[in-house]
Formats: sequence, structure tokens, C-alpha cells
Amino acid sequence: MLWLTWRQHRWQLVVTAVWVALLSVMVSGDFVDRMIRLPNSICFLPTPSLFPVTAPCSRVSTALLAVLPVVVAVFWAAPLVSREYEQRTYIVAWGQDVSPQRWLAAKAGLLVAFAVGLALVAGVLASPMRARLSLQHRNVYSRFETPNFDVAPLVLVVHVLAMFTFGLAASVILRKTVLAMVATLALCVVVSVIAIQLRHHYFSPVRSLEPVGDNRANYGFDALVSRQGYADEAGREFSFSDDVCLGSPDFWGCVREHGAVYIFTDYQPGNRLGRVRLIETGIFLAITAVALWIVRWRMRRLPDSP
Amino acid sequence: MSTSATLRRLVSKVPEEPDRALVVRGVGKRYGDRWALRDCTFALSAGSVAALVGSNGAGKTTLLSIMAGLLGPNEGELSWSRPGRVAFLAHDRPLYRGFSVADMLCLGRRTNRVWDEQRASRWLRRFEIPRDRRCGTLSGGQRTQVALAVALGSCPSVLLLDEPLSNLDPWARREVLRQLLVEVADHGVSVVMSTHVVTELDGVADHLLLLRAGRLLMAGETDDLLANHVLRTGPRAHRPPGPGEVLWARHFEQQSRFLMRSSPMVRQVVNDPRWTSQPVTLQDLVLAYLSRQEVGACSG
Amino acid sequence: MIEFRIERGSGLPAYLQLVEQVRQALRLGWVKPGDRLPTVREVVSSCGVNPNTVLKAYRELELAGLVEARQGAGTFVSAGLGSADPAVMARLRAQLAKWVQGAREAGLDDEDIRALLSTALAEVRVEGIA
Repeated sequence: MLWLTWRQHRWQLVVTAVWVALLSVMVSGDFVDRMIRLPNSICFLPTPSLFPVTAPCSRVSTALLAVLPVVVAVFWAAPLVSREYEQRTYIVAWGQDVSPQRWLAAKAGLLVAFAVGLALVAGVLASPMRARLSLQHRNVYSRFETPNFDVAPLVLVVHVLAMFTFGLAASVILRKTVLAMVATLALCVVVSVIAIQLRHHYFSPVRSLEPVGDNRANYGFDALVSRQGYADEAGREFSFSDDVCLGSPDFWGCVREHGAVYIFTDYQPGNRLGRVRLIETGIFLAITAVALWIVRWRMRRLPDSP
Repeated sequence: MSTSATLRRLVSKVPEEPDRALVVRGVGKRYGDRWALRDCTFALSAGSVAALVGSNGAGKTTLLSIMAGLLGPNEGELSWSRPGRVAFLAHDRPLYRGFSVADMLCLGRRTNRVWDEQRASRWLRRFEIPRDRRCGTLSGGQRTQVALAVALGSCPSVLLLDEPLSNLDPWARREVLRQLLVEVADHGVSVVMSTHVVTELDGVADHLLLLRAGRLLMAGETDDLLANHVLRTGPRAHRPPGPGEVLWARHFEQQSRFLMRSSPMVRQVVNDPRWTSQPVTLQDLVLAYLSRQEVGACSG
Repeated sequence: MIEFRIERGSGLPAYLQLVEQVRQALRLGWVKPGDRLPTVREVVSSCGVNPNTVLKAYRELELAGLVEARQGAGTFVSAGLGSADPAVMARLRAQLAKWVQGAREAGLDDEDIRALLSTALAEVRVEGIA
């Protein structure tokens, strides 16, 4: 089965490995930081933010790395079984001495092991750099925020595991490659969006109040900001559109005049990062188990039509 | 005749129990509300060559797929008497298009517990299939040969072939049949092959399975089936003398011809000199049963 | 050595064709008692006929006392065809001569006689299968 898996998937494996290797180097290399100091750097990409962004190259390559689980799910897992059905080669694959269940277990096992290996290597390579960025640019770079959260080694690995099994389930149930790929993509996106949102809600947020105009972010390392807004002198939040002050010469004075004394920030402090990672890991492992059970159940039944 | 020969003749009258490889009982398969197969019952002997004959859509592929384990029957059961590999040659000979012929053999070698590389290679050499060509670039006939090579290399005890001779040239048709029979002689493989052309199976198939609209009209040894039928020709009449069921009748100006089913013992009673009897060919038999209006089952 | 040839679609079962060809070979002296008949595999390979067919033919010949199977060595011719009782042969020949004369007197020519003979042979064969 090792030979068969390699023979059928060698290009996928090689291309993805090369791509991940490049990204890991970009995320972990020092030159990223050095490059942004150059004017007209190819890495400069304007991004909207309240504060100026540093290490843009790192941000882009981190995002691309965080997408690895989806790529693996859509391009490796989703076509795995459906392609065999569509081209009717399942007759060859399962017509030998390997049962369909063993065939899938071996193939999927090898592929997911390779993907997990890639994720581990990429995550581990990126970790020192991310730690340093978090230290040096703590108001800008937070490991709690997406996509930085997603490239931590543990998180990346469970994402790969879970999304791969989504792809497998889609492949086994739908039996049509394009349909399975689209369904897998949709499922992965939905699950990711939900997971990202849930990170704000595992623990109740901490609120910090800063006087307007102070411009000193006070949330510490690796915080996850949930909401920001204006508050009055009693600390109660009120909605206030600061568009009216855009024209005035003293922006913050104008804002204060309208009754906004503080800027409040609801956030998850960085010391909760480890716990949230573990919770998300647990949840993803659980849905992996469910998806795997579905795959096993479906594979046990013989197809109903030739 | 010598005494020992007489003795041998007496002794051999005891019917031998054929070694049954597979017993199929009451198998049926439904797609929606249409029954593709209904109530199929037959037994497959070890080392025999069974011809599965029927018109398109009669259910041949469905039956073979069920026997190969690729489809589950809605009714009935299959019981395999001895463990062994079942190799299946599907109608469209699916192969991995990006694989070379050598890769396909490699697949066979690595995913089968028992593999005879010589057997597979010999088959490819005999039919001049180049080993380094991609399967996607092979013609239909060449794909058949590659698929057969992979099937045979896995040392099967049962070989299920869905129209193995289609898209083969006349030489290849005869040669494939010949080589399959050599495999049967050398390794005792049981073969079930579906086909449209019955004439080339004379002397090749020792069992006949006749499917029509999902039902088995005949299942048994060809020699016995042929022995139980006769072609009678004589003066124009409504039916010929003697017992037996008339399967078809052709009437000419002054002559009538009937294809009848009757046991040979019974036939000896009739001795009208105006009537001649001729043996029935497999082709005649199959055509007669396939074109009958009423569908009735009959076995050996 | 016997060279077998199967005529497909002739109406005559293949195993009977093989039996007949062995008998003919014996009659014509192509094989003699003690000669080995081709192995099942050799016949299958040259004729493209089912191995069971060959086995059946050889069994028929064995029952007729013409050949004998020796374990592990093959099938050997054990008796010639001419071993039928000479008196029986003479009687049959005389009967046949009388019948042919009667047919000629009835106006049948050689071709008609041959046609009648073929039909009779086929009938007897068909009804002889038990």
C-alpha cells in the first residue's frame, strides 16, 4: 500500500511539501524582518488596522500556512474515494486481496501522517519567530489572533486531522470528486469561522478602559481583542460615531466633548492562550472521531449500484 | 468387451459428485422498483467453464458483479465452498490511466497475498502488450489483455469475465479462449464468462447459464442440456410424434421442423420412419429459449 | 501422434468428436496399442477445447476398452479397433451388402444411400446419449 499511495499521490505530496517548506522558511526566517525595512519591499502589503502593521510578509505567509488543512482536505482527502468511483477503478483497487476498508485505512493513514508531519515541521519552524514577534511587537502581533493562532503546531496538526476526515467523509458519501471537493471546502470554511468565533467565548472577556487620546494599548502580550468602543466617564459603553469629529483639528478633544471619556476594550488576555488552544484541540479531535465513524460506517456497506 | 472393461462401465454409472465451488440460491437484485435479477439459483463446479448468455440488459453484468462481491443482492445468498481468490474482469476494463502496464502489474504484486509474476508477464508477452505504455493510451483490446494479466497473476480460483472477447480481433478471440482453457487445465480455475456469441463456445463451455429479463432460463452442463433437446423434421404436421415439449416450430410447404425438449430415453420409443432427428447445436438452443414468448425455467 | 480438430457448431458434442477421431486414428493405424495419447493439456493447448471435454472423451474411450489411464504417466492405447469379433463383423457386412442391394434396386444412387446412412448414424448417436 505504501508503494500504491506514493505512486498515485506522488505529485500532490511533493508539491505540497515544497510549498509548505517555502512558507516555513518565510515565516521563520530573519530576513522577513530585515526585508520590511527596505523601502518598496516586495513584502509590503497595506492592511487596514488601527495601528501600523509590521512584518507583513510574515502575516501573509502565516495565513497561507494556516490554510494548509483546507488544502489537504480539498485536494488530498476529497478526491480519494470519489475519484475511484468516478473512474470505476475501485473495481481494480478493491478487486485485489485488500479489502476496501483496509485500502482506505492504509492510504488515508499514510497521507494524513504525511500531512501531519508537514504541519508539525512548519509549526515548529515558525514558533521561535512568532514568539519573538509577539515579544517585540506586542501591541501588533498577537499569537491569539487569526491566523497566528492557527499555525501553532498543536492547532495546525488537529486542524489537518479534522479537515482531512471531513474530506474523507465527503468523498465516501458523495462519490463525485468535484462535488466532494466543494462540499469539503464549504464544511472547512464553516467550521473554521465557527472555531474562530468560539475562541472569544470560552471565557468571559476582560475589559480594560483607557482614557481617550492616551494611545497606549494595555492588554499585554498575545491578547485576543473581541470588541472595542467608547465609554462614558462612569465606564458605561455608549455608541458614538466618531465621524462627526473627523473634520475638527483636535480629534480626541472633540470626541471627549461628545461625552466619550474612555475607550474600552474587551479582550482575552494572553495567559489564556494555552487553555484555549487545548479546548479547541479537544473539540477538533472530537469532530474528527465523529467524521471517522461516519467514514467507517459508510465504507462497510457495499455499494448499491455498479 | 473384456470383463474389466465391463466392470469399469458398471462402476462408472454411479454419478460423480462435482466439486462445487459456489452455490447461488434465490439471488435477486432490485434497482428502485425494477428487478434486474430475480430468483437465480445455480451451482458452479470447480474447474469448469460456464457461459453466461443473455441479451443486453438481461442482467449478466449484475449477476457477475454480485458474484464478484461488488454488489450486494437484495435477496438470496451466495455460499463459497472453498476459500480462494475471485478475480473479476469488468465490462469497461477499468485501469489507472496514469499507470504504465508495468505499474499495473506492480499494483497486483503488492496488493495480493499470492502473485505469480511469470503468469502475468507470459500473458502480456503472448499478446504483445508493451510494458512501458500508459494505460490511458491503450486500445480497448489491449486494456482487456492487461486486465486479464492482472487477474491471472493473482492466482485466482474463480475468474469472472464480463464479455472478455468484445473488442478483440478474431485471432485474439480464439487465442484468449485457448489460453484461458490452458489456465483451467494448469491451475483448475473456474471460469464464468458472459458472451453474446455462442458459436465459439462449442467445446469450450461445459456449463451454460441462460439469462433472460433477469431470470435464469437454463442452468446446467451443456452436454446434458443438448442431450435433452432434439431437432425433428418430417411431413407437415401440427406436432411431431412422441412425448416432449415443443420449443419452436417451423412449417414449410410440405415439411415441418420442431425443436423439442425430451429426455433421450423417452425418444427411443418413437420410431416413425418419416421423421428424422438431429442433434441441436448450442446456438439453436440459446436462440430457441431466448425467443420464446412464455418464460419458463428449466435446469439440466 | 493424433492431431485433434474440433468443428464448432457441427451439432456433434466436442467430446464425441474427440472419441471419433481417436477411433479413426486407431482404424487407420496412426496409433497402435501402447502409444500414449496426447495429455489433456496438450489437447487443450492445440485445440482450444475444455479440459473436462478431453477428460470425458478419454473416459468414454476407457469405458469402451480402447484406452487405459495410467496414474501419473498418461493415457495409453490398450486395444485396437479391429478387436471386434470377426464373426460379428462378417455378419454385419453381409447384412449391409444385402441392404445396399435393396436400396439400389429401389432406385437410390450412391449419394442417396450416403444421405440415408448419415441420417441413421446421427439418429442413433442422438438417442444413444444417456
